[in-house]
Amino acid sequence: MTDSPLHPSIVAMVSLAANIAANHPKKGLCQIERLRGYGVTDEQIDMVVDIARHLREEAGQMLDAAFDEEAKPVGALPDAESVAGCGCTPTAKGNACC
Amino acid sequence: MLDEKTTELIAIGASITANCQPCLDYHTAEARAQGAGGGEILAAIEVGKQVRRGAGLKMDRHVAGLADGAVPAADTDDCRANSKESSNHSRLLDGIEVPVLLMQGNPRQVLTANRRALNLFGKDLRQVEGHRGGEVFDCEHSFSAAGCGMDANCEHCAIKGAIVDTFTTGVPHEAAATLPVRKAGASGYRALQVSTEKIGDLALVRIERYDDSDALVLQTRDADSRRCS
Repeated sequence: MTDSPLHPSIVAMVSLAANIAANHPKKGLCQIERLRGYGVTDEQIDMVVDIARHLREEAGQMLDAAFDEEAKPVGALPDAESVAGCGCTPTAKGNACC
Repeated sequence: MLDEKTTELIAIGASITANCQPCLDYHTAEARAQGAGGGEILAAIEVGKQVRRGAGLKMDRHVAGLADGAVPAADTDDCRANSKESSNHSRLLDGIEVPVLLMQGNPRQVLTANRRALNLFGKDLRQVEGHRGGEVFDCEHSFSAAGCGMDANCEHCAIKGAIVDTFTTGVPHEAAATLPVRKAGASGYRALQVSTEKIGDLALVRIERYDDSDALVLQTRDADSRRCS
């Protein structure tokens, strides 16, 4: 058994984001009290949520676009933005996830 | 604001549960570029994998309920709904006549506690399940910058040493320490004495003592000094 090299507040933020991206956001609620206990601000928690939602949505769009590209002409053409890099555009709130 | 490295580690965890391999590749590379070490990246990946397993398990249970013809009730409080198993453990632990914590080893945190422990620490299950031991004890060091169990003060903590060694070797221990505690803005000291026992992959931590009497004269003891076997 080893201790995580990550600070517990970062573990909690990763867990919160992972739960949101897994379409399991309510389970992530468990982490919010912990994060506040570690002094993580509501603004930072909002940023974690925003990044996770953004990644979840763009992952879906990017994988759909890749599928459509393979399945031509059945699917629609991918738009240029969604296939660039990892498909990361700034979130609606302006946070960059990558 | 969050720093870039933390942002990338967050994105790594989310990439795993979103099942997005190109996202994971991208954010892993970016995390490295931002100075994240291999251990940090692997830790973020492990968190994502654990969350993914939990989410999959929850769906499996939901599907099993549908297959049985039962319509599962909607989860109004998913934090508690996901801790049904640990709450069952908690009810079993209520049969033990001393306060006890049931801990998991990796990550090392409290799985659940019995009612006596909740009363002793003045907490409800939500404030205990999934938290580090030091957080449950209101140990001041648990909220340090390094984090619970990682602070320099934790290095020689007999309580931590006993629990870690029980997980590692399976050997039960008794240990005692004086903890600086902070709760509701008030600071003080508590004498904490525990005994540990490994049960399968878990560890049972009995709270033999947690009070402020003689707290300052109770010296921190080495975990091995009171080894049971």
